Amino acid sequence: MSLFAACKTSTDVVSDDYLNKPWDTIIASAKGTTVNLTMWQGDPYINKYMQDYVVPHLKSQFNINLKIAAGQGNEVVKLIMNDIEANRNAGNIDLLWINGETFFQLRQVNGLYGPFVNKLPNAEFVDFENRFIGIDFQQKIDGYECPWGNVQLAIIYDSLKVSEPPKDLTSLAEFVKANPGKFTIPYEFTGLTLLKSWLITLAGGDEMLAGDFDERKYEKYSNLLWNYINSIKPYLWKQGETFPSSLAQMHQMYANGELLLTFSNNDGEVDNKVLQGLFPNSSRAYVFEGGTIQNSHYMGITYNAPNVPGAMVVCNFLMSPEAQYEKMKPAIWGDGTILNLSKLTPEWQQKFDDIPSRKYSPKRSEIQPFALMEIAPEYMIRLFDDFRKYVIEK
Amino acid sequence: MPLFAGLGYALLNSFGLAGIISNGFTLSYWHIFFTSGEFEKSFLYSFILTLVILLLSVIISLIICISYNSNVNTGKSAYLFYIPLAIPFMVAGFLTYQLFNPTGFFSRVAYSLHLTSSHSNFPDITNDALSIGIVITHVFIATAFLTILFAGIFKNEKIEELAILATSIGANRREINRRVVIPIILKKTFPSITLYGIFILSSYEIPLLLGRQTPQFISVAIANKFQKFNLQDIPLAYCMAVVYTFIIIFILFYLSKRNKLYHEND
Repeated sequence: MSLFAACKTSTDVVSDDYLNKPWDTIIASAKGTTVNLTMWQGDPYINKYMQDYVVPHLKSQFNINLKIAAGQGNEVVKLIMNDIEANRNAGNIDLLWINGETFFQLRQVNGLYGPFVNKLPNAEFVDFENRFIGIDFQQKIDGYECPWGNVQLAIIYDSLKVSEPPKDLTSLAEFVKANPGKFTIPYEFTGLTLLKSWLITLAGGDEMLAGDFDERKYEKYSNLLWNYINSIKPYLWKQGETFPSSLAQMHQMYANGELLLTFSNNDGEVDNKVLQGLFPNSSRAYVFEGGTIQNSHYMGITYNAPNVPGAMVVCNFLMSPEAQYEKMKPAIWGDGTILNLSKLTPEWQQKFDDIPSRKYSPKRSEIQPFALMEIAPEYMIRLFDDFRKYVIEK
Repeated sequence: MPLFAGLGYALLNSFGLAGIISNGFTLSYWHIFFTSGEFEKSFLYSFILTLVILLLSVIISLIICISYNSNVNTGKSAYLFYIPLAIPFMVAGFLTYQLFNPTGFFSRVAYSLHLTSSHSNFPDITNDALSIGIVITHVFIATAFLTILFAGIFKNEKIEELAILATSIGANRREINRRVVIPIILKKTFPSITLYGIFILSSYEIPLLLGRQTPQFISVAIANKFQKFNLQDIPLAYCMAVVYTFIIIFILFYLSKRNKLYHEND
């Protein structure tokens, strides 16, 4: 029994009254309050969408002051874990932008408030039946995080330099060998999503790795993966002795011409990177024929959020057709929607249909058949450690 | 007191007695710590690199001080040494990366002057196997610090007067430097140099930006265990942090003892 076990039973401290209150009461309680949102702020387009669209609309429609602070993933998980250990009833964060890995960790430590999603009126428009939205890293969201956007891993290349981008693992190996030093894998979240996509491809499809983590399957298919990567390792950037530790570095090296391919977890990102002037106009995005992982990103309310009603109203607004529509425009963010468009009014359906199509990214309908489902989080943990052991240190 | 409280908490975590993912007393994290070899590798790498950085910085700083007769930290030239100290490590690492990476500023200049036939021909000193980028960046900052430190000692210890005295009894410039100037400066500044060494050993941003995934600087390795995807790695990070802290405490203890002895003999 842990000496500090007493500190571990504090996760239900926030009043769950709001889960049983009518929505009107929640809106009234949220009025005039401040909501503290912590999110990754590494993309100027996303920041602009939040500051120029979300913040003023929340103020004018609900009189909510949304304050956005920078923070992401594990650093936020650590903060929440510290709060839980310290038995802190009211934290500093109301709302968090999270993805599957963070969701998995926060659910492990009971760091999220809920289940609140079904309480939100706009939840009725959300496509929860979609396995890429209702399930996060093989874990049902169970109302503990509200879907915000949906993306698919894409490969970005410069069409002036690469006329025929590699579409599968065989042609990628040939491409890498023909262009030594021009390809690498980022050793971070996006790189791990790529490794997971390849693992699934080598396993023969996402149904092969569906469900809980399977050690036997992992051993079998990860061996194939390491063998594949090691076969092209001498031709990788810096001979595969080191790998970029951030996607920003990958993007910079791609923009400089040091690399021929880069990756993005957002299939629409190439459009806004070109519009920002960071990538050349000749940049294009595609997905491998073996498929790439599609997943959603979410908003979660912390277990000790001081302003639960405010956070719920913000979540509801972010899922609204108007906020999703604005976010989906390529010139704004280009993020995929989590709404089931058939549930919207004909007017809204028409508006979504009329969104100017992406210029440099593939159409969603074109890459959807190649979407792979996220696998259990333990696969990512093992891939992260074993990539180091069996590739970097080899 | 906060240090010991933190150390105590870290120890409890490493034995599974604290932390919200703990399941009670276990030696498994320490077992992994001792068998993986990860800490030893990182520590040895960080330690060797720190020694190289200190050695280069001390030599360069001594050369500057002796060449300019300690007048380096007065007048306008002083800015040359104070400005590098005002640059945060993160910025210094980033600048080195931007200037020296294979498609960085110097590579582009070399390419446009036809000194290299392609960007990849430019010497690669970022994220490189020999950690040259880390060494250059740290030496740049450490040299500024040590030069100011040495120049102060040069004046306070009246080294110039001692040199004149040595000359009057027949010593040449080389002998004066070898037997008077360098020994006095190094003896007086040894604790500060060692403390600065600990500072380099614990640095995070520069090796994070300019280093490789393996081996990693000790602080980067510990932070990775704390921050990456596996929550079960957190107690292991505490094991690493505890051992590292004990090593530093031991060095500081040795330094204070040595300092005490030095003052008693003075």
